[in-house]
Amino acid sequence: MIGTFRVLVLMSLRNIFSHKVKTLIVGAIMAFGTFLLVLGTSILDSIEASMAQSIVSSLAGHLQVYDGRAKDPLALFGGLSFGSEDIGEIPDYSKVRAELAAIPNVRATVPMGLNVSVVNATGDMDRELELLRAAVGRGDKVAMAQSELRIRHIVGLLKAETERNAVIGRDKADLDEKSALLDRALTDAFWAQLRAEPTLNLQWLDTKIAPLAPEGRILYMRLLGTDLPLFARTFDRFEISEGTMVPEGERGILLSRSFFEKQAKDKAARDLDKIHESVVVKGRSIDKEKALQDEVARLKRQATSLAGRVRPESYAEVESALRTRLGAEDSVQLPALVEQLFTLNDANLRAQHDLFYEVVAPQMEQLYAVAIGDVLTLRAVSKTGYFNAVNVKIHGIYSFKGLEKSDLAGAVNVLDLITFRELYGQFTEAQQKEMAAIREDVGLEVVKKENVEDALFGGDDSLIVADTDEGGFDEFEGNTLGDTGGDKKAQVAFPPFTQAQVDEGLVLNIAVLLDDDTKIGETQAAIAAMSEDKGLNLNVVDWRTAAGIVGQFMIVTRAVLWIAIFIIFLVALVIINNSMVMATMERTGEVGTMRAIGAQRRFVLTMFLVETLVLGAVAGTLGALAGVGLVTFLGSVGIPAVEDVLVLLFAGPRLYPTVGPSHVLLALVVIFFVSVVSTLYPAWIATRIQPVVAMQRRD
Amino acid sequence: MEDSVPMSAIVTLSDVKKDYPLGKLTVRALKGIDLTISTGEFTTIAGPSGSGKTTLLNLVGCVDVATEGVVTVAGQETGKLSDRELTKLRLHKLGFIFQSFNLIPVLDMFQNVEFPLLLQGGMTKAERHKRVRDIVDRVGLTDQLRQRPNELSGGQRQRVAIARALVTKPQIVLADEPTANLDSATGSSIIDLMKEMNEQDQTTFIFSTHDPHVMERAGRIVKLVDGLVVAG
Ligand SMILES: Nc1ncnc2c1ncn2[C@@H]1O[C@H](COP(=O)(O)OP(=O)(O)OP(=O)(O)O)[C@@H](O)[C@H]1O
Ligand SMILES: [Mg+2]
Repeated sequence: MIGTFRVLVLMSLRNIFSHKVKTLIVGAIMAFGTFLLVLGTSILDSIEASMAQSIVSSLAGHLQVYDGRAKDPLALFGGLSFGSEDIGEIPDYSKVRAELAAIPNVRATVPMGLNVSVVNATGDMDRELELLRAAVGRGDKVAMAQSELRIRHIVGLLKAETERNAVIGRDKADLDEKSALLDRALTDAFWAQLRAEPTLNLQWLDTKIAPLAPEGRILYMRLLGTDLPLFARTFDRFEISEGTMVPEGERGILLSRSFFEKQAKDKAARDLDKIHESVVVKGRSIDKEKALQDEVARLKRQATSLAGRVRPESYAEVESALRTRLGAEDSVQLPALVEQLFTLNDANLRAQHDLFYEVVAPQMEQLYAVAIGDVLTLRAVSKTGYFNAVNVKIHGIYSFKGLEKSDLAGAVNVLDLITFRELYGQFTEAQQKEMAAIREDVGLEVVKKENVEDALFGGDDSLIVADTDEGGFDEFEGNTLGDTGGDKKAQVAFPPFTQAQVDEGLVLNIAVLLDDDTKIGETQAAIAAMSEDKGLNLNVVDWRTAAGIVGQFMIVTRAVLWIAIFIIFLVALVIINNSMVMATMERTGEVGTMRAIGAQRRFVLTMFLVETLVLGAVAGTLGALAGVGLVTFLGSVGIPAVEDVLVLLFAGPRLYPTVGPSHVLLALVVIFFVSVVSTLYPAWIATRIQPVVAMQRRD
Repeated sequence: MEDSVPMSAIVTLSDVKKDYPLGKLTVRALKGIDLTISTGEFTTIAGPSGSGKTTLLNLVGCVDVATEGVVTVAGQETGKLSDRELTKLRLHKLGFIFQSFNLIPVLDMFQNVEFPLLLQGGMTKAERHKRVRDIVDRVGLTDQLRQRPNELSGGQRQRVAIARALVTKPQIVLADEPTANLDSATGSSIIDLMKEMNEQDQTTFIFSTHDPHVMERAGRIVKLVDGLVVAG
């Protein structure tokens, strides 16, 4: 038996060497297939691992529990209906928490509620006018003088732009009209008038000049209301990178680093960052890629408005510094200089980017639309369809250790649950009482929609807005953002809350973290059983499902890979099969001889199978080695995420894949299977060869 | 020749007919053969080309079955056996020597000879190797043990084939024109060797040939013409 096997292996090895063409074709396909498998599965697993890490350890936990009556599936990172999903609600978190805590393998639960809100970031002119109005109100002469200087500066820039447009030949009448208005705002006479009669002239600025200035922007914020100290403890990669944690029992919001850097940052600066990242991190090329050239063109169009955002007092300084550094002539003004600075190519990008941050950025009015210490007015549609607004102070900026580059980790800004519930529009009895008390304390009132504008312009941000009909964002345009009016009373207004108030109230979903993350399925089933048992009517989903589109994207990607591999191996199967059939034909005489001498059909079958398996083992090993080599190499240099969708998948700008024995094993098992299947038919043909062919004359 | 008295019939054919399909027609290669061959005979099948020599040897060699009639080989009626049983019969009772030698190209000389023993199984490595060495000795190729078939001359290859046919100590050795691919001197030495084996082991040899010199050496000549035995 051993002797027979030995001779089989020997024969197969010799046959492999003597049928070089067949060996080369079949071996190459097998090696390539194994290589692809190792590469594909390890990269996919690495993607999934990095995604799992950024999803599980930043927000989702291993499991998510939410209301069984939800109309839409939970989508932590956004679903198809941006922010307006109905995922139901869990009226009393503490009840569910108690039941969850009793289930084995549950390490911790974190109460949550997701919402999307808008924050209006004011334009420069609006902000200056607001400051001026406040200064007038206080009778602060110094502040008024400063405001005048800044407003005249902005108007001056607007005037310059109007003149440039006139040269290009835009609508003349319109431009002349604008010019006249701007000219008036630049005269000393006007400002003297304003000092004498502030109300009327402020109104004139508001109605005539402000509309000529670029508008402010709307920031969309994804919000996560949660028990902040618990959240920080449980998701232990959480860290405050700037500012401070919201103290226990206090209201407050922590902005995510990515929101701060991407949404809150000055748009032009952010666009510059993006181009810089594309080239430096992702290895793309401005010179070669039209898409990047378009981005540069868009950036250049922002040069004038960006120049307008440079502090008036530093304007001349920035201008002359840029002039020197860019080697421009004395007559070239700041807008043109910035445009020159933004005329980027592969060669000058790094230097000009650095130059921007060295010279221009530090002198910008607002490099970021918000700052730590600001009080944000968050607005969102409440569950009853009202448009709610709440004020909340920015305490700090947070990120997740090791996941700083991930778009998923830190996709939300976190705030306390009490504020969340208010914005969501749910008040417990106790809270309603509390509200009433607050209103009394600070003289707040629920205002009808018609009065909103007045109330807001009164500089009183701590209001609860009760909209009488479906509110739209546009109704709030021009509202102030942040701490412009020195409006500190909003913070004083809210008394501290107790842990019981946090726990015994409404949440939308609950993150469940497990001790053993290999038993996600079991624990999910256990929670579902408990919910059934206690009549809690809960949905329990794993992090992949909870992640929404992102999680599904992963499943789809994996399916695509397997379909691709299936097709490759199907093709391989056909090719291997064909060349094996040909090889079998060539060996008809040899097989016939063996059969005549006394070899059974089974022996012939085994002989062919052993031959492919030996070839498969050798080729597979070589392919797997090549795959391991490549993945190891990629693991050290990283795969750049050249597309934005890849940034999401890679959970960062580069993926550092790792390969493990399981990938190699899987690839070898597949290649083994393919070898056997592709040989069955030719081997079967071989068993049909009649011994009589051995007797036929051959030379 | 010192032809011994037949001991017992080892091959019998009675009224054997063999048809081959040829397109829509059939060719009757054997038209009713009655033949008995006894143990230890050294028989040659002679006859003109197309007379049915190969067809007859195929039937005796159990690599083909008769269309009509009964073929009995070593006590077994071949028409009643399955492919598996026929294969077993060939492995244990028969040895083959082919016109084109038919050695397995990827195996060396020793391994080619060892091959049928491996198929048979049931022998220790030592027994097997001794058996191979002995037979290789007897065919006079002890020095070429590790050579591949393509490194051997035609005569040497046919000696290897003889060793392979005999290593299992078969009852019958069949050879279809074993000397046709050899020059006459070499062919003659091959026949000498076969004869020697026949005499020493009482192995029955049945072979076909066109060569009159070879025919002379046979103990018995069965003459075929047009699918019928005309003499022998
Ligand atoms: N596989 C086959 N298919 C069809 N006809 C065959 C086949 N084998 C043999 N024949 C025919 O059967 C007859 C006998 O052939 P066979 O090969 O037995 O003759 P032979 O005596 O061995 O001839 P040769 O001396 O040329 O080898 C011939 O007419 C031949 O054409
Ligand atoms: Mg013939």
